Order: sequence, then structure tokens, then C-alpha cells
Amino acid sequence: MRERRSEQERRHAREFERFVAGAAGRLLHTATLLTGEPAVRPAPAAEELLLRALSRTYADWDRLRGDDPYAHTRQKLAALFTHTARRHRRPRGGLLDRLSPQERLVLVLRFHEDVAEEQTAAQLGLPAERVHTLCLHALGELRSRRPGPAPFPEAGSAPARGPGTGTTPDPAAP
Amino acid sequence: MSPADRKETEVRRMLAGPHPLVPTDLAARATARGRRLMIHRRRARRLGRLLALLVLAALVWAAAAQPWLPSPAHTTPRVEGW
Repeated sequence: MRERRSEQERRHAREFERFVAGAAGRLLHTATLLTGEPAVRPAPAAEELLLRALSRTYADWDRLRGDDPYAHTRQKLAALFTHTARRHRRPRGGLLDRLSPQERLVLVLRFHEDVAEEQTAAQLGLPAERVHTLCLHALGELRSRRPGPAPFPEAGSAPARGPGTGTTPDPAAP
Repeated sequence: MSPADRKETEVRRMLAGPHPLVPTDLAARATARGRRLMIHRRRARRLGRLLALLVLAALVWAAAAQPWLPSPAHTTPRVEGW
């Protein structure tokens, strides 16, 4: 019995290791976007978040039964991030560090992970309209504060919403 | 392409930016933590099962022994009214 269990555990560990080898790069990038840390330096908060999510996936491995371990880990990552969102409010110099943690989470799930709006809403326990609003706000905020000129200047684009728009002159405005 | 689509495409491109380096021992650390979590869960499950069993045993005993009833008298009460 003990032998069989240890054999099963070894197989389980091998499968898990293969999964991590394939998915860790993308998952760590997602975690880094969530915590607001820059990608060029080591990101300890993102690593910790990912480690906690991955360890849960390891513990649930036998119960996944055909579920995608990547989606499972991403869901754990989102849930853990929601629980610890207060710790990630402070800007850390990353791409999304000016957004609120909830806006970051919605933006990353929708546009980096390509999760549908309804699915994002269900996963976060929010109404779909709220997800839509958060997303629009995050998009506006991100574009209005982006450093550097736009890749394709738009003459007739609507001005981005948010309180910060008045301070930065828009070079593309007519 | 609508302005909203263009906005989304632009943000997607921004999000796809440089990826952080994955530490080489990430899988090993996650495995070690996951194993600890499993052991912890297994222990909690066993403790829960043991507690449930104890509660069940206590209920069965109580139903059989009915300790809340007064114990039967050992002497017959005095007979009066003859």
C-alpha cells in the first residue's frame, strides 16, 4: 500500500513538474502584472503569489480529473490575489501599478488571459456589468497615463476618462 | 476596426511586454509546499473523521444509557393505606 502510494506520488510529482516547466513563464508574467512589479527585476511578491497558487494545484492534482491545470492555477492565483489585494495597493513600478488591484485583476484576466467577460465575472463573484465598467475604466486609465507617444495617433478618439487626464497634454488632440 | 477594438489591441500588446525570468527552483519549491499542504489537509481530514466518530459513539451511548433519567430506586416505597 505504502509502495503504491509513493509510486503514485512520484508520477504525480513528474506530471506536475512538466506542467510547471511549460506554464510557469506565462503564469509568472501574469502574477507580475497583478502585483504591479516590473518584469525586468526579480518580482518577490509575484513569485510568492504564484508559489502559493501552484502548491494548491499540486495538492489538488488528483482531483482535477481532466480539468486544465493551467486554468485551475489561474483561478487560484486570482482568488489569492483578491484575498491579499490590500498588500498590492502600493505602486511598485510595474506596468499596471497605477490601477487598483481589482482593475488590474479584471484587465489581466480579460486581455492577457483572454477570459470571457461572463467567465471573469463568475470567477470573481461580480456582476458582468461591474466587470465591464472596471475594464473600461482600466483601459482609459492605462492609455491616458501611458508614457511615450501613441503608436498610431488618433485624431478623433474620445478623450480618456479619469481625473488624471487634465494634467497630461494629449499630443494627438486636434 | 472600431476605436474600442483598437484600444483593446493596444492594451493586449502592452500586456504582452517583457516576461520576467522564472527561477530555476520554482517547480521544486511549489512541489515541496504542495506536499506539505497535502499532509496538512490529510491530517485535518483524519482529525475531523475521528471527532465525528467520537460524537457518534457518544450519541449511541447516550441513547442506550439515557443518563438523564433518575436511577431506579433500590428499595420499594413504604406501602400505606391498608
